[in-house]
Amino acid sequence: MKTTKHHSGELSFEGILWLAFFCLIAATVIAIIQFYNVRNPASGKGFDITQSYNLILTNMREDSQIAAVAEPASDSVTLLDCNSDLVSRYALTGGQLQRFDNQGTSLVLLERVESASFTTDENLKNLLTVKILPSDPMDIPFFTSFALRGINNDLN
Amino acid sequence: MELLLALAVLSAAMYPIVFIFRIGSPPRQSNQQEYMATLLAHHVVETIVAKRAQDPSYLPAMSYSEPVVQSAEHVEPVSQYFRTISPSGESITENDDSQLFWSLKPYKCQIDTYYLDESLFKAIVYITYQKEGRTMKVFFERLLPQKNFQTRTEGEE
Repeated sequence: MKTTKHHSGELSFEGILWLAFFCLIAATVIAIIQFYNVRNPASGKGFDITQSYNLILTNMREDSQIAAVAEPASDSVTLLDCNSDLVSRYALTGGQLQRFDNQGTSLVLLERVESASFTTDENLKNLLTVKILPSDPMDIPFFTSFALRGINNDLN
Repeated sequence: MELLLALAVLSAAMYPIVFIFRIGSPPRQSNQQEYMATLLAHHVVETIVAKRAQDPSYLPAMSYSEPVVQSAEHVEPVSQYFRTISPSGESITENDDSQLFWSLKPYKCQIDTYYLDESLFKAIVYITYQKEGRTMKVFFERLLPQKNFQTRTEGEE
């Protein structure tokens, strides 16, 4: 009769295979979570802020193609087309930068924002300059400008 | 023997986890530096576009590599595209906005404008910064057609 020896602390070969199997499952779960974080700009910890900045850049570039006038306020800006119809509105509310389209639908572009300013130059009204300071001082600020092309579409 | 086998199998199984963590956290600082340079180049190109909307004959003047903020370390003048960006309508200093100042301080801006052909100019905006002792450069190009260029030149002759 064949007997098997089981010592305490030893792991059977099947046990090792199970452990390896669970490690692979964990790797898959982590991959899925990280993929979700990369795709979701509003997600939090460990997220690269440039992903959210890309979202702001894309939305503002699209809006500036049809906007002719920018009406900046202290922490918001309203973009109007050449017929004075609303294109979109960007506002800082409760530490979130949000975009409101002409239907009033809101989209959170960036969270944890300390301040946001939208300005136009006295001599260059068709240039909207955007400055956004994130709450985390280790993150870069967002600073760039957008030419409002709604008046002169030859510029595109 | 069994212990060695366990270590080998577990090491192989752990590798995907380590690899995913590594690729999941890209070098944040270098990415953000390059991204900031891209935003600044975008600012300059959009300023050129806006100025040309006001005056279609506007061409950006060529410039040396100039700082984008005003500081005691820089002897060169601030680039003309960054001279009115502070709330007071002047270039940014450390006293105006320290967070933005320190973020923009490493960058310099240079403009090259070339005549191509057939009333067509090209402006190239370079934003440079130092990284590990090397000068890194981000550039945007913009074609600038001059519709009245030939007519005006002929008129001047």
